[in-house]
Amino acid sequence: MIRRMAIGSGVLLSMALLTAPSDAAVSWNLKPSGTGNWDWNLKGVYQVYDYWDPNTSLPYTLYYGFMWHDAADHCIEISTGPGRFVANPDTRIWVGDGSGSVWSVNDDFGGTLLSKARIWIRYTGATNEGPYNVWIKPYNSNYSFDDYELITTRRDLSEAACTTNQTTIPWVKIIGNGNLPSTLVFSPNAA
Amino acid sequence: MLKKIFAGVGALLLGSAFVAQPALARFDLHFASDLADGGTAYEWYMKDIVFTFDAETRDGVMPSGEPYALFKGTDASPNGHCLEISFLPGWSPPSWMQARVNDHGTFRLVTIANLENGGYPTMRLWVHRNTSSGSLPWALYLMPEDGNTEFSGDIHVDVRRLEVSKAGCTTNQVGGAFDPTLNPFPWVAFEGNSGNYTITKGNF
Repeated sequence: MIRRMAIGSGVLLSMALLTAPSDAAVSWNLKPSGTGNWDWNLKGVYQVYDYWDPNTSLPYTLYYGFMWHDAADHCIEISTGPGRFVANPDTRIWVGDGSGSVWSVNDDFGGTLLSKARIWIRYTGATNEGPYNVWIKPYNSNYSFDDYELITTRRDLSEAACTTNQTTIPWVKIIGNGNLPSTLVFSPNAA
Repeated sequence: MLKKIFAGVGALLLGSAFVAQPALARFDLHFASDLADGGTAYEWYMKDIVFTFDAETRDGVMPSGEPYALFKGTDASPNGHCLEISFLPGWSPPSWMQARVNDHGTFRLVTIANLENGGYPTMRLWVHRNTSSGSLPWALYLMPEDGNTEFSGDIHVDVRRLEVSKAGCTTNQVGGAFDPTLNPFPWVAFEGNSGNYTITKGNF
């Protein structure tokens, strides 16, 4: 029985690999449709979950960066897309304040299982760098092995245009001064 | 029994996935440059973008048989953009790799990078749709050394966005990781639009 199960699992995995689409190009597009002259997006970056959160018993991907004290404020849009091996992954975007706690920003965007969120990053008066981090998790453990596309879009927008002046894309402001935890401000539709 | 087996297979897969994948996706704003110029408030740094070359995920095979993966894009912006691109060994890298461009049907070599000993070979990319309309497609063909037709591993790429002019990006390199005590990095420039474009390169 065990051997049959192992063989069955192997066949399933092989089929998944054989049926994967072949176009894997990583694309950096400048001024993608609907954006400005200094905007870009990075597509074709595929992820699986590579960290483990014991509090929720779910794996996650850590999207992580540093905001240096003399960097300009930035509006970053993060979204997920179909994986190379899983056509419809169920993802959720979370953001942390540096204390170890994370809060959900978006689950099912636009009626899909995928996720999208905007992050406004601002570090004021910092004398050293301030890290920020975003977690991408599966909705629940049924989706722990899904792969997905991680799409990053830089938007050359003001703070208001990025966040409060639009109600379509859930957003979070990460505001800090180099000391943790940072201050997080969420849009009403963040969930 | 079935539940135990599924749990076992699941744990094995989960463990494999955790080991085999990049530690994190990283996007730093105003990266730290400990060499020249430091960078500006609008620069950023993205680490460990993975390019794979196995038959299922590569983008194609060169006429000479080597597999390639594409780093490509479409530029609809009238502004010029500069990237500094560094190549790192992946989990199963080739000893050497190269970046080529398709210049009107001819695959021209931009750089050859030694990935042994950790290497950190670097090049620069300038993309500029310098016309009033249209868009400019560009592509780097990343591939192993000539003759390595069986390669199926991976490489990693770090990208820095530099806020510099074309000259600052290419012929008179400033900013980024450029070290004035070393030779300037190889560079390639895509200019024009899809109907009429030029590709120039230097330092190789």
